[in-house]
Amino acid sequence: MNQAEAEAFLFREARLLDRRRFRDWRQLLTDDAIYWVPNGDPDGDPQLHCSIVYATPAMVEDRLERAESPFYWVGDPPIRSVHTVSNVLLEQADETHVELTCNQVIYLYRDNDQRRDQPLDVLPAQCDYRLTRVGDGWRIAYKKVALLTGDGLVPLLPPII
Amino acid sequence: MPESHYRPDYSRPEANHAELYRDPAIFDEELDRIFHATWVYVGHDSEVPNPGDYKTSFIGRVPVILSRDLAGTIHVVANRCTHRGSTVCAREFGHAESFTCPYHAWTFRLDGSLEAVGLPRGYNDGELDFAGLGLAAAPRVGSYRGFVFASLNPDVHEFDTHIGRARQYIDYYCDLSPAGEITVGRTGIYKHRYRGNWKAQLEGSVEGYHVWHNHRTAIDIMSKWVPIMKQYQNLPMKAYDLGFGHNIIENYTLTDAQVHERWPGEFIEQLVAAHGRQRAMDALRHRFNVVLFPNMAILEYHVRVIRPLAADLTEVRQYHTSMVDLPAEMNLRRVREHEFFYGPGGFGGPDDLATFDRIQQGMEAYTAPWVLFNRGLKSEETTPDGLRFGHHTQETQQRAPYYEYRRLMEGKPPAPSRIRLAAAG
Repeated sequence: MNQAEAEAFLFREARLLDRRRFRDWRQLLTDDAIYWVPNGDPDGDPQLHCSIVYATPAMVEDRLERAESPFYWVGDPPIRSVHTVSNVLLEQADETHVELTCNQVIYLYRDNDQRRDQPLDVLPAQCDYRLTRVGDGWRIAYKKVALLTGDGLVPLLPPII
Repeated sequence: MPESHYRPDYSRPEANHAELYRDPAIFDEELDRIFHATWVYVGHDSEVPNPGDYKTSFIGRVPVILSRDLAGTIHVVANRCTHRGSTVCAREFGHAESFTCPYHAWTFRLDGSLEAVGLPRGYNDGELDFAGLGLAAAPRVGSYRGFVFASLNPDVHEFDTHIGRARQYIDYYCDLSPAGEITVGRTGIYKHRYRGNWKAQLEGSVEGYHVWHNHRTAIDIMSKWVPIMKQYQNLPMKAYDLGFGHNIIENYTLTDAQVHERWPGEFIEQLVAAHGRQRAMDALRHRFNVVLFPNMAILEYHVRVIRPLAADLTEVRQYHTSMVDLPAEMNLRRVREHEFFYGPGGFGGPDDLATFDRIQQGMEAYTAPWVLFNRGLKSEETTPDGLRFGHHTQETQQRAPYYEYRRLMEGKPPAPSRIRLAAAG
C-alpha cells in the first residue's frame, strides 16, 4: 500500500461513516479487529482503564443493533457527521500489513429543531490504524481514535466515529 | 433584601413547578441556600493518596482544592488567591509542595496557609496579615470510608447526622473490595454537560420507572450477562427516602444462588474470609443506586458528581470505581460493564443525557408547568424507623430530595420529617 492508496482507503472509510453506512463500515473490520476510542490517557491500558469505546466486531454489531432501534434516543434525530482526514503518515507498509497515523477532525451535528441552541461539535482526533490485506482488499485490524478532548468534555457520539 | 423568586408553592410532594428548573434567579438561590449551605461531596481519599497530592473540585460555584498535607491530613480550601483573586491551581489532579499564584507569586502551603508573597519589602509593617491571608478553608469537612464532604456553612448540622442512613449502603459498596477499600476515578472519568437543570440528573440517578423504556437498547443486550435485568421493572425492589434528601433505589437483590451465578466462587470465598459471611453476602447481594443530596450518587460502577453551572446547564462527572484487592479479571469486568452503559458512546447513559436536554426544552411550556412525582404517593409506606418507601419503579426516591430542598430553600432548621404525608390533594 502506498500513500495514495492509504489516503483513498481512509477517505472511503470516512465516507461510509458520514453517510451512516455503519453496516458497510463493519465489513471493513477483520475478525479480530479492535476499535478503540480512549477516555483519559490515550496511551493508557484499556484493560485497566475505562474507554469511551473498546469494541470487538461483535461489540460493534451490538452498537449497530442499538443504533437501528426505535428506542435509540441519542439518535432521535440522528447525529450527522463529517470526517476530514489529514496528515496521513505511513509508519510501516508492505504488501500485507500497514501501520499508519492520521489526524481527523470530526464534526457532529444533530438537527433537533426544538432545542434552544444547536451546537456544531468539533472533535479533533489523532488516529492510529493497522490495516491487513484480506483477499484483494484491505481490512481494519485496529483503529484508535484519540480525541483531543478525550480526558475532558465529549459530546454524545454516533455509534461509530 | 430582594424578594425571593423561590415560592413555597412551587414544590409539593407530588409535583415541582417548572420555574424551579428554568428560572436563573431561583438557580442562584439554590446555590446559596443549598450548595453553599449544606454538605457537598468534594472528592475521595483515593484521589489524593499521598502527602502533597491534590485534586481541584467545586462546592457550588466555589472552586476548591482538596489537598493532603505532609502529615496526611485532608484540607478543603478555596482555590482563590487572597490577594487579587486568581486561582492558585489550574489542574484537576496533581502533586505539589505548595501552590503559587501566577500573578504575584503568593505561595500557599498544602493546608492553605500563606507561606510567602512576591517582593515582600514593598509591604509596610501592618499591611500584610500572613495569618489572616491563607486560602479560605471550608469551615466544615467530614468523611466516611474515604468519601470527603465539605460545607461552606460553619453552622451546618453534624456530618454524622447528615450521612446517617446512607452509611449502610456505602458499607455494602466498599465491602465488595476484600480490603474494604475502593478507588474513585483512577480507572476512568467520563465528563458530560447537558443543556438542562441539575435536578434532572439528581432525580435521574435513582430512576426506576424509565429503565425498561428509555434504556431498552441497553437492557436487551445486558440481559445476556445479567438475565435478571430483563425483568427489572417486575422485580420486588424498593426505593427509600433516607432523610436529608438522600435516597436509594434497589436495582436487584440476589439470592444466595444468584450470587453464586453472578460471581466466581473463589471470589465469594475471598470476600467471606475478609469480612465474614454476613457482611460479604450483603456486599455481593445488594445492587443499588444511592443519592447523597445535593450533588453526588454512587452507582454500581461509578461515583457520579453533579455540578450545577446554570439553570439550564449542568456538568456530570462519572468516576469509575475499582475495588482494591479484587481479582484483576473482576476489575476488568467492572471496566467493560461500566463503559458498556456509560460514557459519551455508551449504550445507556447517553439516552438519559439526551432526555435531560429534551426535558429542559419542555420546561419552557409555561402553559403546562408541573413536573409530576405522584407515582406511588398513595401507596407509599413507612419503615418502623420512619423511612418512606415504595416500589422501585414508583417515585418515592424522586420525592425524597425535595423534603430537604424545601427545608433549605425556606431556611428551616434541619429536622427531616419522619411522618409520612397523606396523599396530597
